[in-house]
Amino acid sequence: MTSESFDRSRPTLRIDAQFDRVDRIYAPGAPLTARYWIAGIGQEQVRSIERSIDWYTEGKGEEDLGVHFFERIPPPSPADAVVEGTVTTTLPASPLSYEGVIVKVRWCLRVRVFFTSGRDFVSEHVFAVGDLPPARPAAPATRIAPPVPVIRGAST
Amino acid sequence: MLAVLAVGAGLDLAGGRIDWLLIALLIPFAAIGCTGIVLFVRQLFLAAAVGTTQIEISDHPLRPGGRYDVLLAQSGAGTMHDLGLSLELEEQATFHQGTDTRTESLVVVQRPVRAWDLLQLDPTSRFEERMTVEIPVDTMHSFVAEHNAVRWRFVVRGKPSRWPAFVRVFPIIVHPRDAARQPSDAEPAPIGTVA
Repeated sequence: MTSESFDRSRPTLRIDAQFDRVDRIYAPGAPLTARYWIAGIGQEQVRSIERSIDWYTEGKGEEDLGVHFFERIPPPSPADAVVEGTVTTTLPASPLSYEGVIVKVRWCLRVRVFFTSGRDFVSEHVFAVGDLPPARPAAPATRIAPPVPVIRGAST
Repeated sequence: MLAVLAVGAGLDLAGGRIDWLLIALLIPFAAIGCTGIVLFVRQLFLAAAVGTTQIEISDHPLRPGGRYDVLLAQSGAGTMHDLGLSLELEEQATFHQGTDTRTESLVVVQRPVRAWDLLQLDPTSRFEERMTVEIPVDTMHSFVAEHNAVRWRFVVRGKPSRWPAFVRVFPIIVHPRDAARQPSDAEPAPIGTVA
């Protein structure tokens, strides 16, 4: 997911990322290494680059956000056609990625490029912590056993 | 306020005068006050008549996949048509709608644990039942953020014979599974290939 103000005069900025697990599913507490490439900066001057490992919520509620790892790095050399970097961190035990019905928890690598002109470009690359199956609305409760008449004092 | 109006109206009546404006004010205030008192007493009576519900767990916080001994105790008197214990996972999302703040809830896991019918309650000793409850393995742990929450809870639903049905909620906390037991055994991809 990327976002920026649209301007045809600028070259298309693109950020790609690659994780050290093909399926992008990590165990809680596991180490994570992600590599990213920023291409298409063109003639614009970069003020700084921020990279972070975040969790955020999606769904019906307002977004909640937690930052697990954050780093701001100085601008690259203007001569670099492609800027690349690596993020390494150890993931926490929670929250796990969760695909609920009205609440979803997602983890992502977020790379944000700030330009001296004032605009910025954000790119998010989602991965999963844990492998919980998606939740579904519960069916109405049903009995698990035939009704058992109970007389006071006869409980076991 | 009601007492001031009533005393004023009473003094007027005793003096042989009728202040219709005062009477007109007194009647709605008296009706609202009496209705409130009746509703309060009714709720108090219902709460007392049904009796207390108590749940004890052998450990807390809980973990997915764990098995725990649970004691359900219900006091009260008379016949309970239905009494049931279930384990539930509820999602809660808080959002703004115009100038209002609303919270929506949805139960995504509802596991009946035990149910009883025609339970005869004795006021001198409470009904007690022990059982084992297993927290599902592949489910979300408890999670609470500012606008979103995922909450585990025990829910007791009952239907006394002469009173309205009741629902009592007992929040519990479920921690994430031990990291060592989390599956994710896929081999790491070599850096440099396209993911």
